[in-house]
Amino acid sequence: MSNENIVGKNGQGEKDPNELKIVEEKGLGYTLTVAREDILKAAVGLKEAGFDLLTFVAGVDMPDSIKLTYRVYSSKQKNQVAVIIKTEVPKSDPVIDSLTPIWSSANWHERETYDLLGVEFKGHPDPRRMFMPEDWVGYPLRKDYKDDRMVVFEDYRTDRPGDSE
Amino acid sequence: MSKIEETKVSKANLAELEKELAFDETRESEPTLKTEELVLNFGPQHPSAHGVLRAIFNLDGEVVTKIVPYIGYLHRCFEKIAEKRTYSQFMPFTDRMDYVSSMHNGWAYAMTVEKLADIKVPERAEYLRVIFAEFQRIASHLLFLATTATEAGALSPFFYFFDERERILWLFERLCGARLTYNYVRIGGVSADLPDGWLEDALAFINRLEKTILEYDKLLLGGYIFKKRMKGVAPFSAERALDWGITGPPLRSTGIPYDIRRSDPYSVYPRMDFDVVIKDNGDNYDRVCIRSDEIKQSLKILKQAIEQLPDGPIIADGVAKDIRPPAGEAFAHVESSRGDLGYYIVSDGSIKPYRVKIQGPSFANLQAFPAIAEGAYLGDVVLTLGTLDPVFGEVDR
Amino acid sequence: MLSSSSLLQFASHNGMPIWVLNTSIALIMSLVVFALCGLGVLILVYMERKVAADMQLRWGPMHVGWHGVLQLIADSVKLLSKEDIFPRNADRWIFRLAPVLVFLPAFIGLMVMPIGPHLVVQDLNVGLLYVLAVPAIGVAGVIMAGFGSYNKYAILGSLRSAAQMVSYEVPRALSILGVVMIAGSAKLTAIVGTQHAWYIFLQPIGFVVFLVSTLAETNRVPFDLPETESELVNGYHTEYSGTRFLFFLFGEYIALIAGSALAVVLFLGGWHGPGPEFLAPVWFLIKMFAIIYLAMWIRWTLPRFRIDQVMDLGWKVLLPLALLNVLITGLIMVL
Repeated sequence: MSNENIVGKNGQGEKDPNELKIVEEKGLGYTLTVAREDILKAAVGLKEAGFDLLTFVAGVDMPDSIKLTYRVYSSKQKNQVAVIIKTEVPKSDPVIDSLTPIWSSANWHERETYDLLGVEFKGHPDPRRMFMPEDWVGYPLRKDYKDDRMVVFEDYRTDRPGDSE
Repeated sequence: MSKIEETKVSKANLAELEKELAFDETRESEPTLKTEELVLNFGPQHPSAHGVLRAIFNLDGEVVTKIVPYIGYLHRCFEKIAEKRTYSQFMPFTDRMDYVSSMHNGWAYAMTVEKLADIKVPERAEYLRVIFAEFQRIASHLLFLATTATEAGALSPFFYFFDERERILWLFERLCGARLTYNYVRIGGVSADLPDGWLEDALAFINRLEKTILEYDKLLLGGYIFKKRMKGVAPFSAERALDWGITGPPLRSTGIPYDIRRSDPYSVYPRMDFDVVIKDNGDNYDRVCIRSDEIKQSLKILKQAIEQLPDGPIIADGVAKDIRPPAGEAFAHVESSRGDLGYYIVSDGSIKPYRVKIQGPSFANLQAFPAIAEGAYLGDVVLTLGTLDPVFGEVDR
Repeated sequence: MLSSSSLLQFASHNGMPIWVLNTSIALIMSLVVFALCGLGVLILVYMERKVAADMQLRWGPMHVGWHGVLQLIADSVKLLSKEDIFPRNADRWIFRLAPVLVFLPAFIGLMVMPIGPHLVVQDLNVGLLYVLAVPAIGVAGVIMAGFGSYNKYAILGSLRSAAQMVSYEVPRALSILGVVMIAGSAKLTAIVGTQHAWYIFLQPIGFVVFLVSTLAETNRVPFDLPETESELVNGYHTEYSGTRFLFFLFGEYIALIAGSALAVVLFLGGWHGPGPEFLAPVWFLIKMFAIIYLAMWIRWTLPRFRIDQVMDLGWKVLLPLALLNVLITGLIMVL
């Protein structure tokens, strides 16, 4: 919302050691898109650049991949500089390096992502389910998740196939 | 107490016992007292589980040596539900997230959708949102102080704080008819304008609380036993807090002025004159005091907001009932009573959000609970959980 | 007063052995004290609820009877008629015996309390010792309640309670020594009889130590650790309900009555007061209720200590203070 006032001041491009491009994206602010192999490298670079607070890890179930979004802040600066790291893992092999060694707060967020979307985090210290029982089958936030007990919300206002099945 | 745990313990003990016996033989000269840790199941139905936290405590006498929290008892699949509802249909669900400060949740969600759909909110609506968000912050902090007092064993302050909170709820009730889950904020504005005479009553309440909060400070925070109980207990440094992802009052109590209202300003907060309260020690006492000080700052904001409140429409023109934002992503966050509350929405251009991710501050704050509280006395562990102030509607979502 | 010569004459006249006479008198008096205790507990619970309500901007019980005076009777009937819930794995006998063992010692301790010049059930020569020793048996009941109910919260609560009661027994007994030294007797009536100037003025330190340790003994805030709701759910009586719970409630309040009555006897001049002699019990009760009100006031104002702080206070503050008090009293008496 207010990232306009800090353009030019932060100099993200120089700070980042791996020459990964940080671009400004509408609605999100500064965004760094990396391949999944580079996530650890990018995270270390950002951490060294002073981004000390990771506030969420979100997974989005796209048709053939799972998009992961991390948001990190530099809490020490007066005007907040936030960077969103985006990466993608294929659905056939949803594995990615865990960021918990870098930001401890990633621990539960990654567990949640594993629980609800089935992304495996390599090197996670405590890879259990977060909300669901340990013996739960399936990953509920995936679009193709089916459960007999699930009551599908019937609504006439739908324009997305599969919503009112 | 569950029987399953106990049987597990006894099975595991057989091997351990043999080891221990062998160990004792080698050191016969030293008198050893055989002690065993008590495994205590705390919650999910416990008076101070703050909702439905379940944790396994390992107790060495009165000292808690290990904490393993289990969450998910209040998981209501809101993120999944959001994918099946239209943008405005999801609005009431946000109130059920952090039900102690539902106004902030509604606001954060509305802000994200507005960002996504490029909706300009009228100024009066922004001011009304600020007014109610600050009232909500006061109400939430009063509830925090009340429950903390009760957990510390002082039962009377509970009623004093609830009395004040009740007055805020009356104001809310007059405004939108609800006392807890308001559904007041709408995408593009707010749902109702102020009733007649509301502002006068609100000002009267603000003036009243300005005086009474000082008395409560003396009664609760200034008390000898309370200080003795809270000071220096479960402290953490700023670095550790950041590493754990703690935000909100617990982070500010370590000396970091991280407040979204200032560091990533939104709405009309840049026009308000207020201080971000910080404390130095990051112990239980600071975490309580900072809430009381924030109430005072919120009162300051409220006075200014009521003074500056402009006339005009309360909801943006031309906001369709079924919003259809362009495909894209947006993230917006507000400073809720508990910290950095954000919504991340992915839109595929249809009538319903493709994915809604809620970044709840309680979730991150609770994550640090085992690390903070391990090694403290049982009574202090309960208080530490209280000062982190998790709301389980938001933790489990 | 009751084994007076006229009664003895009456007995011998009718060919009644003296032990029968004594036993029947003791039984009748116990029943009277028991009834009075029940009434006292009802009054106390009502008072506690009203005092608490007053301090918390509430009304308290208002619906049953005038200003809710019959509320406690309704509550008792409710508790008595409740299902007797018995935890599956509880130790049957220990679980059943515990409430009685908590309740009875507290009640028996009242037997030597002189509420008027001649109004005492049994005026023992070692009344003071008796009053200190007998109610202390209640600790056993508390521990039994904890172990018998097969609940970890209950065990923790009962262990806390045991540690606390045993620790505070020491300064409590020592704080009384000064009074005994001045009065020169351990007989409660004699202590009151010599008290023309209240001992609270002669023994201020002793009084404070005694009051604080009495609060700790009776498990009241700020020493209510055995039953902390926020930590241990309900401590040693977590698993109790219905009638058994009622016994715990009775025991708790009777202990409070006994504690404050003892404070009145030792420090506040017992039954002494202006006016004719038949007003003596009234004065006694007024003083006793003043102390009880103080305890309630403290309960509804202060937060509670942590367990290590409770122990510190007992052993590191109150015990030296009590010893100092004995020392000062001795020095003054010798000089």
